Amino acid sequence: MSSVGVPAKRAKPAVKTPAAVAFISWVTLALMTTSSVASLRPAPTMAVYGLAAVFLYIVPALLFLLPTALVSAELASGWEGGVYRWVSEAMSPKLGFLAVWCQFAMTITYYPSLLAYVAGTFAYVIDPRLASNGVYTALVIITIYWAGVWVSSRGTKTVAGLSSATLVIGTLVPGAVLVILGMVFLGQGNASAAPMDAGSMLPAWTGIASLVLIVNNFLSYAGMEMNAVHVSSLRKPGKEFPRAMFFAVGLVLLIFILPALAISWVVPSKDLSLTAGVMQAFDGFFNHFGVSWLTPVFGIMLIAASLGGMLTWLAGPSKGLLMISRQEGYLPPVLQKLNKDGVQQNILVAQGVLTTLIALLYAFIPNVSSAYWILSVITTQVYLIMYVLMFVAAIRLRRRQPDHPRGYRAPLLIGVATVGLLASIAAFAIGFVPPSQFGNGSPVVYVLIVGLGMGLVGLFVPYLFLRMRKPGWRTADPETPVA
Amino acid sequence: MSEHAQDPHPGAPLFLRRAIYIGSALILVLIALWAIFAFTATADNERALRKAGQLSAQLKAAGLPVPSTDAIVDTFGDDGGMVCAEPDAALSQARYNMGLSNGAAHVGSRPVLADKDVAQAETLVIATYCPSELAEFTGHLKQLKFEDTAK
Repeated sequence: MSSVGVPAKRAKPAVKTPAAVAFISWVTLALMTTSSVASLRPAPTMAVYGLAAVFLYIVPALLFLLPTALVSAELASGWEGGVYRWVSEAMSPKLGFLAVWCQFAMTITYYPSLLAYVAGTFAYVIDPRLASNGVYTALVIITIYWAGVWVSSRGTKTVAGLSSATLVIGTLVPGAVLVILGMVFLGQGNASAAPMDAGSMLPAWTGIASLVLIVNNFLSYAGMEMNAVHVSSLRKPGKEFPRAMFFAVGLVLLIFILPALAISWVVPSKDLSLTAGVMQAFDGFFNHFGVSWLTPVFGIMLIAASLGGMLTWLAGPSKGLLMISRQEGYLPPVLQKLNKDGVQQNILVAQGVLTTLIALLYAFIPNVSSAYWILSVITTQVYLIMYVLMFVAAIRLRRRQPDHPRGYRAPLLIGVATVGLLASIAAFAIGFVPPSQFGNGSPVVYVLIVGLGMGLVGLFVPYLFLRMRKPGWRTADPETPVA
Repeated sequence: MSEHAQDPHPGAPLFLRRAIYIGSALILVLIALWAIFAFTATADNERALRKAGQLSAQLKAAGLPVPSTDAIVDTFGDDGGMVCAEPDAALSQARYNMGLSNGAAHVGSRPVLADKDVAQAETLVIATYCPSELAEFTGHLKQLKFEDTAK
């Protein structure tokens, strides 16, 4: 326990890095936030809905993205530390721990699907036969994931630089190219592959299936609040975080909507989205313009953007978990230990071992991916617990601490947070409706699986941590900085 | 909330950060060059045109949207491309599941009740370009449930 929280020699608190070097700008934080939430990866999936993709992104943006952004902007401008701090201040440290645990635990199923996507995309551009090679898949997953852990262990500034650069290279530039080429396609007099008339603005309404589609899209914006944990890396957090948040909201909307529309103009999305995925959509796109060599380049750019997003998720929730655990002693000292760069490396390694095991199962055993998708429902349900806590915290803090200094006060916060709270509850309820992958299985069995899984991951495990904690595990030390 | 007079976060030293940035950029460029040389572009030949014609007819007969022949050739070439490449592989199945999900790019990704036309169109694509994979594919589809969610 002697070394707990004490960074090694290179990062002694007495040796300060010049401020101009280690702070991050609000633009960088905005790009990090965008990188955590948006990419071109779902564009072909949403292109299937044609013009209705706009509706499917805008309605969830009004009901979930805006409330999340406004609430996060106000809370982060008043309290450092992110969601654990907000919920701790408003309710209790135990619920603060639950909130950040939910944010952290849900990433365990995110990494395997992301790494499988990376491995699949890389195989497509190098040699599609590799997709069935288990050794290839294992090597890609292990190498990339652990390289990500190593980079994340170098601190917020390092992650900020890479994630913002990969967002530009892997999302903004290719997204702009797609949209420009799409407009050229229409400008040449070609008919759009998907109808673009007024009758196509709304998705088909078939009751519960349409509701599942719309409400589940609330989760497209999950993660907007996550980078608030880095708010103290800004020079003027009170003013700069809200600015970063609003910039990120604009970028996220543009990245989700415009490329999906552009693909639906050029590519027969309805005919290929189930099995072909994003790369074949891009291939069809670029073949039309005679620039098929751009397909592999885009593939690599998309991979870069995905990995940039992964870095932000590695660095964010684990930092929040560390911060509350140091204050309240919720995790054993070995998990609170910082590396020489002031990063919670042991939490990342512990998470990495579990993630690697799941990812390898996912990659090697074809049928695992079907079962795996039920896991992704369970973890998004767990994440929604955090959102409920966050919106409740925002309402309580505004009522109970109205005079606490805030750099930004969201307009109509109580109403906005209530909308976000109801949207979160709706997404939570819809999570119990069996998706396509569950086939014709019993809905009762599905509800039981999701409910029990959620209880286990989201409630029982954090309960065990709280139950087993010891007073000596509290190691918060203002002299020991966290990167 | 107070503004910071000095940075409390140590992080990696500047030389290491620069080395990581430069190293990452180099790796990316090298892999992109490798990909350009290794990538096989979709074929645009007589067989691709013939297959596109067959698919158009089948889509029309099924009452599904029919893209232009050029669009079909650009997307599926003469062999179906990725649709027909290793459909049983673990990564391919992971891709199917991605196609049945919501519009999230990262942690919010979650399955939905997907559109039945997508499954029907895929079946026709596979029947046209790689019929030997059709039985396996339809067997997989039988385990899934579809609804009418796209116009």
